Formats: sequence, C-alpha cells, structure tokens
Amino acid sequence: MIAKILQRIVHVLEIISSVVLAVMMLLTFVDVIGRYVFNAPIFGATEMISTMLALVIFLGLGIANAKDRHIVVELFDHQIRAFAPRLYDVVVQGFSIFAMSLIVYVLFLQAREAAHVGSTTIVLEWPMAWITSSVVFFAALSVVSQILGLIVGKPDLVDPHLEDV
Amino acid sequence: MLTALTGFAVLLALCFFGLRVGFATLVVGFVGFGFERGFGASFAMMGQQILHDSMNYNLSVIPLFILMGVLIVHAQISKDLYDAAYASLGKFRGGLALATVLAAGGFSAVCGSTLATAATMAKVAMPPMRKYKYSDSLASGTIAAGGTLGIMIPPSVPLVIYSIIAEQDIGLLFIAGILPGLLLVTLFMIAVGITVRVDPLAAPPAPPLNPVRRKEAIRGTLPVLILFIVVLGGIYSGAFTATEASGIGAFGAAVIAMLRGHLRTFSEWRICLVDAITTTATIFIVLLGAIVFSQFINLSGMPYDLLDYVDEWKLSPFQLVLFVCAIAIVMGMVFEAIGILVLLVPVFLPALIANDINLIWFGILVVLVSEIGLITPPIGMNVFVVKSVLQDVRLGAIFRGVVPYIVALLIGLALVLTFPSIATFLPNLMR
Repeated sequence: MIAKILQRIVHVLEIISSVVLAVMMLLTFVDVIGRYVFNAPIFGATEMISTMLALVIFLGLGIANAKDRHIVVELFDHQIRAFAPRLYDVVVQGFSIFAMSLIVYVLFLQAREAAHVGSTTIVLEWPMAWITSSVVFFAALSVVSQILGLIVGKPDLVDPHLEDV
Repeated sequence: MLTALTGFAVLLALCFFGLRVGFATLVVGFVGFGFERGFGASFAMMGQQILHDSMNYNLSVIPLFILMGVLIVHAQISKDLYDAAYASLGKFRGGLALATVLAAGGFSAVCGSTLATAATMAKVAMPPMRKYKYSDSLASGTIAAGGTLGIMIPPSVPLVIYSIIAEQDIGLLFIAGILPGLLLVTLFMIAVGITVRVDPLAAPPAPPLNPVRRKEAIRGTLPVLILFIVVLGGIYSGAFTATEASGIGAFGAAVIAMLRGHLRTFSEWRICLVDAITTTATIFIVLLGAIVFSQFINLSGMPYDLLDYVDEWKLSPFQLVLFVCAIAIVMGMVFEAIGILVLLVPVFLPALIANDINLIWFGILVVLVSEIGLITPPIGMNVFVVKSVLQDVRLGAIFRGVVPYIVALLIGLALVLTFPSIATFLPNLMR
C-alpha cells in the first residue's frame, strides 16, 4: 500500500518535472531563435526559465530522495552498515529527512515573507509568494517521499533508465 | 578559525559515515552559522540563499547541459564516434586504444559527463579491444581515463559550479577548458604510444575498418561535430550566452536523437528527461549545501585567517596555487570534483584574489586536479564505473591500467601550471 502511494507520487513528480524541463529547453531555444532570427525575443523568458529551474530542482528532489540517488562518499559506509543495516539506514535517511525538512521550513519562511511584503518578479511581476509556495509544496512532497521510502526500504522505483550522467 | 576547522572535521566525519554529502554540508553550514550568529539569522540566510540560487538564471545551464548529455547518450552515437576515430588512428600501433581516447574526448565534448563517457565507452570500445586481444589492463585503463576528459572539455558541470562559487564568467571558463582538454587528449595518446612500445603484447595489431563502415561512421559523427561547433562557437563568438547555448545544445541533441530513430515515444522522452532531472537535483543539493556551508566559513573568518598565513609564510602566488593544488589532489582521493570545488574554493578565494591570481586559470587547474581524483585509489569513480560495466575485469587490472594516464594528467597539470596561457589564451582573445 505504502509502496504504491510512493510509486504514485514519484510517477506524478516525473510527469510534471518532465514537462517543465521540456518546456524550459524549448523556451530557451525559441527565445534565442526569436531574438536572432526574428528580432522578437520572448518577453520575460529569463524569469520564466528561472522559475522553471526552481521547479525542476524541487520536483527532481522528490524523485532523487525517493530513490536515494544522492552523492555519497563510499569509503567506509558498507563496513559501518554491516553492523546494523536497518539502524544505519534509519540514521542516514533520518538525517536526510531532517535536512530536507529544514529546507522546507526556511523556504516556508521565505514564502510567508514574500506574501507579507507582496514582492513580485521584476519583469513579469509574478507574485513571489506563489512561486515560493509552489517550491515549498514540492519540497514538502519530497520529504513525504523520503519518509515513505524509508518505511518501504527503497522500493523498485528505478525505471529502466540510461547511464548515470 | 577554530570554529571553521571544527565544522570541516564534523563534515568529513559525517561524509565518511555515509550521510549524503549535500545534506551533511547543508546541516553543518546551518548549525555553524547558527553558532556564530544565532539560529534566527541562520534560518533567514539559508532560506534566502536556497531561493536565490534555485532561481539563478545562470544555473539553468546545469539541467540543460545534463539533458543534452543524456540525449546524446540516448542517440547512441558512441559507436559511430569510436569507428570514425579508429578509421583515422587504426594504422598506428595500439590504434584501438588511441581511438578510445579520441572517441572519449569527442563524446565528452557533447555529453559533459565523465561517468556517462566511461560507461558508454566501456560498452563500445571494450568488445573490439577484447576481440583483438588487447590486455585487460590497457583496455579498461584507457576507458576509465578517457572518461575523465568529460570534466575538462566543455560543457562541463564542474566548471559551471566553479564559475558560480568564484563568480567567473561561465562562457570564458568553457572556452578556457578547450586547449587543456585537447592537451590531455594528446598526452593520453602519447601515454598509449609509450605503453604499447614498452609492452607490445598489450596491443596486438588489428585490421583497418572496412571502407563502407568508415563512411557510415564519419557520416554519423558529423551532426555531433556540428552541434559541438554551434554550441561552443556560439559562446566563443559572443552570439549567445552559456545558458542560451545549453538550450540550443539540448534541442540539437534531441533533433540528432530523433533523426537517428530515437525519442519517438513519450516513454523514451520521459526516461531521458527524468534521468536529467534526477541528476540535476542531486547536483543542486550539493551546490545549495555548499553555498550555505561557505556562508558559515566566510563568517568564521577562516578565509581571511588563511590570507594572513599566506602573508606570514611569505608564499608567492605560484606557491599558493601549488599548495591549493596539493590539497585538492589529496581531497580528490575521497571527494569527486563537485565536492572538491565546493569545499576548497570558497576557503582560498580571498587569498587567491589578494594575490592577483587569474581565477579562470585557477578554475582549470582545480578541475584538472579533480580529474586525477576520478581514477586514483581509494575512490576512483571512473574505475568503479568501468568495473561495474566490465564485471569480469579485475579492479587491480583497471587501476594498473590507469597509471600511465595518471602520469599524463600530472604532466598536463605541470604544463598548465607552468604555462597558464594554455588556459587563458582563448579567453583572452574573447575579452
């Protein structure tokens, strides 16, 4: 049941983030072509791309956290884990959950501040509170996927993907 | 200084324990800053830094160049690149190994990833080297070392990260990486030449490529060459920024993949996009952690204390750079490129700036040093990647095989140290 929920979350994150990154690529390309070929760049493209970058990062963190695809110094970890594997996993993943929760909290403070001040992006005048809140939502979702991942113990989430890049 | 050293010690202990590097760096930076200034300030600093850098337009080159690399891997151009390289180098002794170096250099020029280059080359280059009875150590060592070229030849993610930490122009750094990258390709080829001269049995002769396949391979390689020229030529000529180049590169790579019969289904697109997104997220968590950690280090005053030590010890600028490179070599035994950059550069940056050291040159040096770390024990990431693909090759054989290339990298490092213009010549032409 929990594994299914986790799979569903990751699936949704994968779909949304794929669309955002594909649009980001197209937008950058079309903006350059528009500027140099038609002398008509896309208005506010830079801000749109910046916003999409934040979304890609925090949507991607949900996927990376669920699959625990983070960078590790692999020197002694196997030896230490051998003593008490489950406890080790709880400590390591518990630390990651704590760090991610910290990120969610500080971003929530930023979103609250943005809502209070009413700040917007410079060109498109998009409300920063909305952008930051979206980021907070996806960061929080990544904490949920971390916790579920810890409970089900890294399920078969890894798709048949390409080599690590 | 003591607080910062304690912070470093705790961070190393947490990393060695096996905690995720990005999260460990972030938490130690947060706690360290909190001890210095109070946790209210630490919450505010962390939130501002994370939000600011997650929305930094210049950093959008990271997902887009990673996507370009994933799409190029998916386009399966590596076999054509390898055969095209062999078509021109096959007549020399050790031709298959020479072709591996050249193809790895070419592949990394559009892929940008050392690990993907090593993994892909292991699949493409090992079967022919096996077929013609090359020694396991020469074959696998060449593949592992060839993969390291990806970190220097642009586009390179470590160079992007350095550019953010040291506040240097990404485009200039990319251009600065070209000549050192070519130098390393040349040195690697010389290493192959010397190895097969010393041990001729390591590389028995292989027949030339048949003319039909030769034409096919060259035709298959052309679009990739054009993409590389457009991306880097655009940056070099000032026609577009690195970010714009990354969008064009990713789009061009998608077109190449589609022309080669890939990316025809939504599921294929999803696999590629998700791969790029996951890699982006893992890189950004390290980057964000490092930015928070460097705020703590700056606040602790350590970089300025080091500046005082440099004055006190009367280190010349060159000695200072040598000193930092030596530390980076030691760090490279444990950390990969991004880890070295984020931990080392902020600490020494004020001293480097005060000594008028060219930061473009220094960036190339640090990246070159981290390249060495990719194939040296105990953690030579590329060696392990090659081992995971070629499971029947002994780890010892691969480590033995990379020795000539470690020497070549050290010679490359000495050359770039002695002749900074290898790194600065092209960027100076651009300014």
